[in-house]
Amino acid sequence: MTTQTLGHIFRSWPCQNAIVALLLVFTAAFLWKLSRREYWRLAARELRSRKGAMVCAAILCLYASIAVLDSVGWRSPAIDPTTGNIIRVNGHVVLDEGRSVLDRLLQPLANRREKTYSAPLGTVQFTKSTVKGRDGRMHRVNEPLAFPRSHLLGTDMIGQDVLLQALKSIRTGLIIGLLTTLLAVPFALLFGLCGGYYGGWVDDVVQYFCTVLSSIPNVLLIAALMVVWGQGLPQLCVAMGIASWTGLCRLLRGETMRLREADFVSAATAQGVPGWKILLRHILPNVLHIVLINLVLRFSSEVLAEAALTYLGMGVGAGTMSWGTMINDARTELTRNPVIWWKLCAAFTFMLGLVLPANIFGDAVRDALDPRMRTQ
Amino acid sequence: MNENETILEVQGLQVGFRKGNAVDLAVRGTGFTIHRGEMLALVGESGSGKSVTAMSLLGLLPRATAVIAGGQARFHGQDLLRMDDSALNAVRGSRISMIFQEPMTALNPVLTISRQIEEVLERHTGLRGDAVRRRAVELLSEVGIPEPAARAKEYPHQLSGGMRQRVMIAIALACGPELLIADEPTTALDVTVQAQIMELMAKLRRERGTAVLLITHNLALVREQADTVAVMYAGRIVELAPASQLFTQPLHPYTRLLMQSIPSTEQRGRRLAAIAGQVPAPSEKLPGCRFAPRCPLASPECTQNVPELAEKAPRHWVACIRKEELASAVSQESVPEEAKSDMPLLEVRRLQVLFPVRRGIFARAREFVHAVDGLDLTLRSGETLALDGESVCGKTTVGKALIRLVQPTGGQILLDGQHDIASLPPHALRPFRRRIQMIFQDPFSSLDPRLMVGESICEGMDELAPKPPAEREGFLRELLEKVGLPEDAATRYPHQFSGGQRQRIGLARALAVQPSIIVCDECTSALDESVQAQILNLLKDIQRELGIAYLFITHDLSVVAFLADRIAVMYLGQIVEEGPTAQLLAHPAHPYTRALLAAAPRMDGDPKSAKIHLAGEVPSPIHPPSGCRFHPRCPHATPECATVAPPACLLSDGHTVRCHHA
Repeated sequence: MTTQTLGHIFRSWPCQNAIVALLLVFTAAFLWKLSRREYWRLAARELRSRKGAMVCAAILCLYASIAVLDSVGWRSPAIDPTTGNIIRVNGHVVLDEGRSVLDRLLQPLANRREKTYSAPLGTVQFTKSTVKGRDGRMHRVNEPLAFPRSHLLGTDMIGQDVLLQALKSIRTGLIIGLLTTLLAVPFALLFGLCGGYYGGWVDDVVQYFCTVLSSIPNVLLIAALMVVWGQGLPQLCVAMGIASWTGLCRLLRGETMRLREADFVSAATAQGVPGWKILLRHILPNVLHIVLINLVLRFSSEVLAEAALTYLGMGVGAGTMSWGTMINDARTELTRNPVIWWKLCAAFTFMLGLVLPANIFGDAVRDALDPRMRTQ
Repeated sequence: MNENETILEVQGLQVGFRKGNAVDLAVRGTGFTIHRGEMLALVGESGSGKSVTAMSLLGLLPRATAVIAGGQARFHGQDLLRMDDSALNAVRGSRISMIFQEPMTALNPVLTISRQIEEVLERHTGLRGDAVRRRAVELLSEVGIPEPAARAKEYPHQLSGGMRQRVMIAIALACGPELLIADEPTTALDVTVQAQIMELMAKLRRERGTAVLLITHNLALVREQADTVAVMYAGRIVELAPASQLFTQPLHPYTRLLMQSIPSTEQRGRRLAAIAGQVPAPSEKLPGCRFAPRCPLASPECTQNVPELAEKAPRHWVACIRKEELASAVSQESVPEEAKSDMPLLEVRRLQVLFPVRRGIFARAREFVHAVDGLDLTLRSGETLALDGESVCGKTTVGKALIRLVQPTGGQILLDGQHDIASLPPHALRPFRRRIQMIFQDPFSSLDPRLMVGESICEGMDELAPKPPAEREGFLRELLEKVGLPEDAATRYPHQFSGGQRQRIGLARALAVQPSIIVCDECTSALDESVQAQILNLLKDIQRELGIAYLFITHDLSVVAFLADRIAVMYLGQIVEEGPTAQLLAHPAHPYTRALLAAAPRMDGDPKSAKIHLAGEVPSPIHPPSGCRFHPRCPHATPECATVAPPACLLSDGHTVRCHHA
């Protein structure tokens, strides 16, 4: 029972908002701390001088702020459906279940429900329905929409605005991309660096662990974990994180082994610098570009993997909107004639809008972190 | 056969590289002629444009960026620079061949060497089937590969570096080319193997009349091998003359300085003529002589007009407007030699480093690489001891064992005659870390690219001998000044420095913990001659000032002759001979030392003197030969040598040798 209560508290809006606030404060503090170091300040200056990177950063910020807005809870006073008045108990206002800030902002969009499919900016329904005409005969016509020319990306089967779904999917996409990566990268870094640097039995253990883990097919592993933990976004992220850190770990181990033999590491050893300091000061910064590239690349594959898992019925679950579920829906829509293309296109465009700037920005960050690539 | 037939005539060659809209000329008007059977050497430091010249002749430069801006290269009357691809392909590999520097990467690792030779034969000759195979084996035997029929079936990784370079030559020779372009063919090889390869090339010239265009930075090698020498500097030939004449009477100030910058016995007690500054980049705009900014004889005129190559003496061409005054030598500063103390600082006794060879997943090591096996060495305070030997003899491992980068498996390393640091655990070793430091071979990997130079230099100091922040700043400035770096170097990144400057940074890092011993592991072998001279001068100055002892690990005997007080010659993990420099160079007692000395090209002595050729190559250190390890290659070996390891025997004061026949 206690675990259930804990889960309930964890999922409550105050707790969620506190977590979001903590994360924001933590990120800001981290960036502030970095900005006080010469190495990172020079990198930031280099980054700012690249126009393309800054445009991409702006797009990423837009995505991030949408995701944050979608994560911050908002409870408004509950309204009695019969009277239309605010419910009060003993003079205190009673709050409703609560929604995210984004939900509130998008309320007008959510209210414009249609009956079924309609093309982007269309005026009539996509499918014909049988209507009794004035002459008393039955006609097959495209009924006019309730809100014509107001659905930028059209509507889906149950008449929901596709733009709304795509916007709501941003949070899911970002969480899957970030959380999975944040889970996988520390594991990969820790094991990869230690295995590569210390060698010997440490390396053996890491290697055997990696080999065993990567010999289980990813989908099978995720499926097994999801069966144990149940469906849901956090569970999916943890499962995908566990399934995917081995590749990066191997990459980092190899690079570390190469760097360990570099003369500057030998020089540091000869000058009595302890192993953990060498790892942090010399090896970590020199493998960071691999982590960054990997981070950006896995972002897109993670989002795609989510779509694939949704198709297999192991995705985020029906209650959560995601690009994966959108693509999954589009599977049947694409077989219709004429083709209903807008849902797939919307999911694709929004994913591209995230992954492409992330790639370009990641490249720019990698270059900016390498003193050899700096233009100034 | 016409002896004086012209094979290749290059005139006014200009090659540039596109950079944005501009074209930076790397070669600015080069001209030379090669006759049948002649060896023309194109010498110069890196950035002089010698390799670009050679590559442009065969159309090997990247099409996207390289531009032939002018000139012609007539090969039997045809202009190579204006040939289309199919015509060039007919010439390349059949009538003109090229050998590259790196024999490790120039061969395809998944094809047998015979297959790789056959490919060329099939492409350029009518031979097919068995005839091709027979010809391939013939070629292998021609380039001196033992048991050619068996070797032909092997893959490149089964051959040693010298053997691979022979295979490369066999491929180059497959179609009987008239011209062989050799780009630093022996730079990656040991001196004894270099001597074998150069002998092979000399044989080809004698027997087949093949002309050779040798591209190298090694002046001593050129002196012994080439007929004609063209000295290149920043894209231009500055001096062109027959080798004998050039080396006895160099005229251009650059040639002269370059020769004086090469260390040798004669240069002891003098400062090497280090040419200040660096070769200008192709993009630099210099209206006059490109050497003027570094030339000690430069006059205002020099910076205005480009000097033309003019025939100053018969067949001796020089591009310098001040050639009248050139006869007056560039003077060299002399430095008195100091007496060194006799106090042993570091004694190495029976040092042994074995590396296990593991095969398979669970395999335990059954075999060991005997990298260092029973090595005795004494380093006295303030002296320079040179550790000399070919690759795989374990000299680098000795250096790494001394600073405990590799764990010795046996023996003692005594510091100050009392502290054995060979087997100390890491925490107990810490106080001794600052006593011995190291300078590394590769200036590009010895500094962390992501740390500012100041941080790199101070890293060890902060760890082993921390200083308060106020003192630290001043100490760093002092160090930078000591090694001749600008003050602002501390806040710059390593990639902003040249190779020579990086070695200075490496030296500053070592000096920061105030060591009493510095292990220099081939620390000048990656540098150009003129830069090497700067570093060697600096090392000498630092030693005089601070009294630091150097263990100088190198394969370059000329550096040894210049710098070292004593020499220890190493072969397969053991010292075979040790003694004072002058004594050992004049009267080498061990056959290996004698062979090494003979094989190394030198700037002094008779260039055509007879060579002692060492047969074969250094055996694998996994199964070192029994008895005297040198006996399989030794011309004087007797049955005793194969069974009994020779004890050290004292010849004269401080000169010991391990040989039954010394």
